[in-house]
Amino acid sequence: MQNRIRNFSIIAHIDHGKSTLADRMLQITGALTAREMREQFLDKMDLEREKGITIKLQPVRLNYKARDGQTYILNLIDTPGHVDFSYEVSRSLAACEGALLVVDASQGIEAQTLANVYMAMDLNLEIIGAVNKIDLPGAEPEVVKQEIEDVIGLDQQGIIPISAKLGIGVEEVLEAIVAKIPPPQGDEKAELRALIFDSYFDPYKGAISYIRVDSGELHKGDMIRMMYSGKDFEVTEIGVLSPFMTTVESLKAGEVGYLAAAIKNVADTKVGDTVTLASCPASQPLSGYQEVKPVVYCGIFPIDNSDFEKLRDALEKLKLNDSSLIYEPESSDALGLGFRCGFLGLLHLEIVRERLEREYDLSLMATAPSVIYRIILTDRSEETVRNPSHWPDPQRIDKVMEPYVKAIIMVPNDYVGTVMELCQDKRGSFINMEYLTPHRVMISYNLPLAEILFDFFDSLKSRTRGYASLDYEVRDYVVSDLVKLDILLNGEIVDALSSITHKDKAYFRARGLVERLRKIIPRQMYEVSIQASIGNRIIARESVKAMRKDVLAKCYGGDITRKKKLLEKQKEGKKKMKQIGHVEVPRDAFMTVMELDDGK
Amino acid sequence: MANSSAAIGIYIHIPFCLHKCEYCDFYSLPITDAEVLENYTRSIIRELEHRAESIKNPITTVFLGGGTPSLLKPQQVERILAAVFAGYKISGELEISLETNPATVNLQNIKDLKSVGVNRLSIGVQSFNDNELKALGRMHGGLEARMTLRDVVRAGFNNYNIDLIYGLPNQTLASWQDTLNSAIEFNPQHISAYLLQLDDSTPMAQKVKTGTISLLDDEAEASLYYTALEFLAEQGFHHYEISNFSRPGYECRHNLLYWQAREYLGIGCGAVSYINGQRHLNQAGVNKYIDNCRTGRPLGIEILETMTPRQMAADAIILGLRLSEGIKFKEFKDRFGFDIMGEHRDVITNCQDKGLLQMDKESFFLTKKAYFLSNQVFNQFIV
Ligand SMILES: Nc1nc2c(ncn2[C@@H]2O[C@H](COP(=O)(O)OP(=O)(O)O)[C@@H](O)[C@H]2O)c(=O)[nH]1
Ligand code: SF4
Repeated sequence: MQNRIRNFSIIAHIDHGKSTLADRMLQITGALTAREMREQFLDKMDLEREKGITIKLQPVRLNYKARDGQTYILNLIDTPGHVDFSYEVSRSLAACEGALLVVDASQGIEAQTLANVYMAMDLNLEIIGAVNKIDLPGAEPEVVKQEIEDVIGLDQQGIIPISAKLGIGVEEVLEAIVAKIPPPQGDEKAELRALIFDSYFDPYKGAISYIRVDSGELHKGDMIRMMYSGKDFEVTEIGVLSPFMTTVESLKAGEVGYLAAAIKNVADTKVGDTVTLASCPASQPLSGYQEVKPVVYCGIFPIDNSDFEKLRDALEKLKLNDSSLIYEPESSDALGLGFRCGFLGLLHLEIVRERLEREYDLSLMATAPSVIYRIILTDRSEETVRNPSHWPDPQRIDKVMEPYVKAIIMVPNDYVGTVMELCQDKRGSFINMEYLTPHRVMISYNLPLAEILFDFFDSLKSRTRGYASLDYEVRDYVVSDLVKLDILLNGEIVDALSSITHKDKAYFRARGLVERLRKIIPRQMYEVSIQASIGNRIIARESVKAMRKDVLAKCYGGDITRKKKLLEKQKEGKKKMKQIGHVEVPRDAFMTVMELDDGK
Repeated sequence: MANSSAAIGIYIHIPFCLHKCEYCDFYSLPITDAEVLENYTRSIIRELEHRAESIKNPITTVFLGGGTPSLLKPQQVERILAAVFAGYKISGELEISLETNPATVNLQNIKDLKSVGVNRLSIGVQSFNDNELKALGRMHGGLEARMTLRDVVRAGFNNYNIDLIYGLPNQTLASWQDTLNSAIEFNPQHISAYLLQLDDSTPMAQKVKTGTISLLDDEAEASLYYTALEFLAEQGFHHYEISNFSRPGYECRHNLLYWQAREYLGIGCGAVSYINGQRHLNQAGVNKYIDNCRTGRPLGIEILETMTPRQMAADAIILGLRLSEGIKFKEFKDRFGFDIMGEHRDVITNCQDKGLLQMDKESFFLTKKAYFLSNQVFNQFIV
């Protein structure tokens, strides 16, 4: 049985053609009829589509009749394509014996891809290389093959030139999967151990887990135990995705499928956890489980204070589907009651925020994201700060530590100078630089996480005309000379606008902030003074002059309706404002104010 | 509000001008030949006759606006007015206004207009400064404006308005003061002073966009406005609406109907009516309008808004606050059946705190400072 199974992932940079290739595979193996065939079947969240990113494709089981006459079960398990979700990538890869590396023939390998390939190699996966889009006039399959050989060490002979769009080479890819990727070799007789590599919440069936059975056998009706969380559940349904959910009686070692067990919360089916039988549990869970921890925090507040409970409900529901989301109530003088939420990264933050607004019809304000700081106080105790407004009194601070990342940037060699300049500017320290090909370079830097959170990636892209790719990994905490920068409106500190910054950059940042605020705070009845301070010292100031004109000079019988529309629009606009003291601040200010490009 | 005893006004739209001004966003077409005017006159008369059946309210004002209604021959105006008198109940002495533009009328015309019953003229002077008039794309200069005004006085009109525009590119306090002085020389009973506010569709707005001309900043515009307020007060004018000034007793009764959120009947192509709680836009397109009137086909009418009692009350506040007398508590309650302070106390006190509204025993009204910021008050009453 297991001889005919191949479990594999596709590793590809955004837009290199992963979804197109997966669709083509579904078509060739007849998993979908032409009628069901819809562009990019597997790519499901609207939000992802809009943002042009693939976070994750759903797993799918393909029946492929190979040239040797045998029919094989190919399980395609996708990896999320964003650095925020690298732990999930590792679990998806851990569920496979092989990985298909897809590289755009006119772009070459990108940093993110490389990081994922290394991860796959560490897990001893067989790697099959393919260069895609060979139909494009700018394609340089030979150059890219050479690059793959040089960087990853794959023999370029084995790398398959394909065009996912036109279907060229896709059969060869399927053949290579059958021929090169080893079949799973789990012991069907051993105790059950199945790896949860993904899960989501279904309102009818409860949490659904995608699993890969490593050893043993799972049946409907079995009493299972989650080995890390320690909880037991009765299996109500198991099945495979081909690509629609199809129930089966059992899943055996080597197989991939889903399980439902009336689990009310996805937090009980954590990615990386091991499913075993409650009646005869395995002695050891599968390795590699990690508790995912947020790296970025921000305050999320309802514009309308009375929506606080609604926001709580919405977060609760979202969390059912996203166990990495963390939140706790927070109260701000400026913004009222809300929640401090923790995320895996900025993309994660953005997705959660948008889903809250769209799916739960909330109008929200978010404060600028913050990393987690560790502060050693003069009395030797330590404090963890996730919210700049909780920064201790500087008198009490002995030293401050902030998280650093190791960043890897790949870029054509013409841009080395500008990339290094940017990294230097973001307080980076150079680690090393390597030539991947005569024209492409890999640069490594240690950088404060806080610096790359905001506009780093955008600046990198714009300075390198989109050629650079970035990957990073959070490393350790490093002592830094950090201060809290406050913003005052008409003399009052606005807690939600406080931020932490490096001392050397404080003045520059303060200037940028007050200027930016001057531009986004509309004129009001009275002059608004905007100041930035460190402790009691004002280091930058601006003001918004009082409004002098807001009038409809003419209003007669013919245009009352039209003039009222204008007033309605103004009224709508007011809803996007938050009243802080006597000042009306656009609600986006709390987030956008931080998106300073201090490189310019 | 379908109250058939309340007096209403009739607005008659004459959508023709000699040529289109640069800043104009009115519904008005350059006139091609005199025949159109005659056909249009007949259509207006037909429509007046046709609508007469459904209107039971007495008429208190007639306003011929445009466009340039002074392009009509006095005899045509006479026939239109005759149709009003023939078909509608008349309440007391009618105010009959007609808009004119300098250089479209001579002394004889004006005398004739007076003799056919027009008792109030509004003259689109805009400015006495040739450069400013040119920038606006007006057909006349300062001299023509003066000549027309002189003729209006000679013809014996004792109720007429001068329209002025401020906030023109490169306008200075001095040139604005000159224009105000010139207007006063003719001793008008009424002055309208409008801030130039350009609709995006106008050629002048395009020029601003491309940077060929630039408008004044808010501070400069505000100081022009308040200069006019002070100067005209010194001259004995009563500032009775945001942009309107009159000698006591010479407020424009027709326009007051708008600001009191009263109903009115709009006649003519593109005219708006407010009847039975609905605002609608009359048949667009002059040729269609003329055709439909001639053949007796129904006019195409677009409903702009159908108002709930609450919306009508909101209109009455938003429009009523344009008037310096403001909103009278008792009158409002009698008319709409609820107490305005009960409903809007928060907004009103908030505006008081900001120095935008003032209150006495009977009423509340905009402060002087609030006139030029009045949207800040109005938009809070929108429902
Ligand atoms: N010309 C050409 N375009 C392709 C090919 N494969 C994918 N594309 C296009 O590349 C873009 C990105 O592909 P997609 O599959 O969405 O990439 P993903 O982000 O990796 O899932 C789409 O516009 C595809 O139509 C190919 O073989 N040839
Ligand atoms: S005269 Fe008045 S209506 Fe005619 S084009 Fe000029 S601004 Fe428009």
